Amino acid sequence: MKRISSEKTYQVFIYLVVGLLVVISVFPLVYVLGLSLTSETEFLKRGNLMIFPYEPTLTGYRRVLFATDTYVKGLGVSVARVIVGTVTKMICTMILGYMVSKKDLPGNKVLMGMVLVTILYGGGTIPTFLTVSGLGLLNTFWAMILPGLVDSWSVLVFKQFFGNIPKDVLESAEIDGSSELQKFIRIVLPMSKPVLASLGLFAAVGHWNSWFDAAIYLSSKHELFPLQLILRNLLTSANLGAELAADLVGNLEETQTSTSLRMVVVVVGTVPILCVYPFLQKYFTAGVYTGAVKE
Amino acid sequence: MGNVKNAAVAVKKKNFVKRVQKYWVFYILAIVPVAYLLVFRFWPILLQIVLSLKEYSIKGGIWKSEFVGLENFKTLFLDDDFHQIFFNTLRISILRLVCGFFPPIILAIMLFDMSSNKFRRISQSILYIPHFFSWVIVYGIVQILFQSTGYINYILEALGFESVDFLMKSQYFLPILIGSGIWKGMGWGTIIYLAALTGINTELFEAAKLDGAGPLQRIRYITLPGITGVIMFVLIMDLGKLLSAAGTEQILLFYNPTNYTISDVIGTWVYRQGLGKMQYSLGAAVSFFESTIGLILVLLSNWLGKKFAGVGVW
Repeated sequence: MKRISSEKTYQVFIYLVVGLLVVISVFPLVYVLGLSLTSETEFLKRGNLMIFPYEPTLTGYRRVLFATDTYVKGLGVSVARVIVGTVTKMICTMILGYMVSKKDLPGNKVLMGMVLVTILYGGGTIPTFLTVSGLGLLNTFWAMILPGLVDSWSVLVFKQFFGNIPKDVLESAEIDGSSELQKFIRIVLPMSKPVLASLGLFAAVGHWNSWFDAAIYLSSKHELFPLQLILRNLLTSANLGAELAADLVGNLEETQTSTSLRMVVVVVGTVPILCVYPFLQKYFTAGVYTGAVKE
Repeated sequence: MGNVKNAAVAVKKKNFVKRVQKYWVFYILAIVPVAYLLVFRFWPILLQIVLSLKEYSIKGGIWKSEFVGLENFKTLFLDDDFHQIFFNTLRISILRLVCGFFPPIILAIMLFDMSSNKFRRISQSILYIPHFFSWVIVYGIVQILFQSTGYINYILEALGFESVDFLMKSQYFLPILIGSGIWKGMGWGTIIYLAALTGINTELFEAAKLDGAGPLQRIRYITLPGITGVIMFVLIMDLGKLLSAAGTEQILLFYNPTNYTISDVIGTWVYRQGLGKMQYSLGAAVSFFESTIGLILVLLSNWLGKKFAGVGVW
């Protein structure tokens, strides 16, 4: 009797705690979404204490997306850097990962050593900045792509994955005389779908989310600012929201608080991630490096 | 004997040439990534050392600026501001490690023990989401919750308390910084533990139940021992990141001049003072110092892990 009741108590406890954490994870997002749909009249009438507006309005979205081209341009830059950045990063990272996983490839130890050095020792913000600047990449689109072309940790994940592909799978291809490249394209690549999906998602999210590199390398090139940097500038300069609102209010009947305007941009910056998320969720575990845990 | 040895070398050589031929396409493919590593990763390391030993001037550039030896390091070590940012970096990193280490472990065990698979899957999907948000988005959320007219303050006022300007009072900086870090990372942190938990033989749990072991005993004698290796692995990784874990990107968004005395860390200082005011030499010296300590920490924690727990990063 006692055992059953302790099991039950434990289950109730688990469900309560996990349920509470789920609410804490979700609530801010619902609140942000609610604010982004709230008009100022309703905002003022009800105060802040609301979760969702009675009369949702898309004014804020219309304003951000159509009344000015800043955000649309930023969105375009972000999409471009996600596509170009993810594709190039995956190709370069996978090549290195495959090479270091091949024990009979001459020079694989040298490559592995190079990758480990980059994990262990960083060149620092300023020397990297001077390198990018010396190559004439400042204020160009490539300043957001090239400095992070290879992800060293992902090289290790690829190595771990490729190293676990059963030998006989590859040997069977050797018999019908395929070259190493053919083997890689016909056998290894199709098998790597889960790791590729997972690391590709991480790389894409990384590109979508970054603003720091753009802030450093693109200081005088506003038209190349990705959405996250525009949003960051909007959030950190306290009166910029009001200024922007004043700028744009003129031709719109209903005014909206700068808070909800900011939240519109937050939503625009979040939605793409939430859209791809469900499709890639099953691959997450494949991209998590588990290291050399001795059995 | 010499002939045998020579023959062996010859075979090896032939073998080597053969293996190079076998993989020749990959050497060509590797040109771009290897060039990248040399230019964007190794070259800055060299620059960092050179710069930190010189007094950078715009006119002279990196190479023709005056060589000053260890002068920059001397300036740093005698500078009170540097002591402060070093201490801040350590404090924030350690707080993050201590506060952020256990929640994912506990949450993973709770998720694993949930009786309903469906509810577990839904909870996981939702709990992972914040990890994918940028710090900018997280800061946006923090702003509308904690600003003087934010949600938290409306609740406080509704309950009869006075409102607090959380974002402008320095004593709330660390709790908000670390709390939002946990909010973002806790769910994602469970993945590595859940992967290890699914590897535990389920028969062990059944047997324990038959023997009358309660939930706490099961956790203590089966679940925790089953994931000790992974816990150690994560701990090693965290220790190795002790200096870099302060989180420059997040702090750059969250801090403001009212709290620099506790919020300014090595990374933010290098950005603001080094890059912003073109004190390249001093900035390079600071990051040289940071990288070197980071290297020592990683090697040390990896060595400790291999020696005492049988786990290593490589």
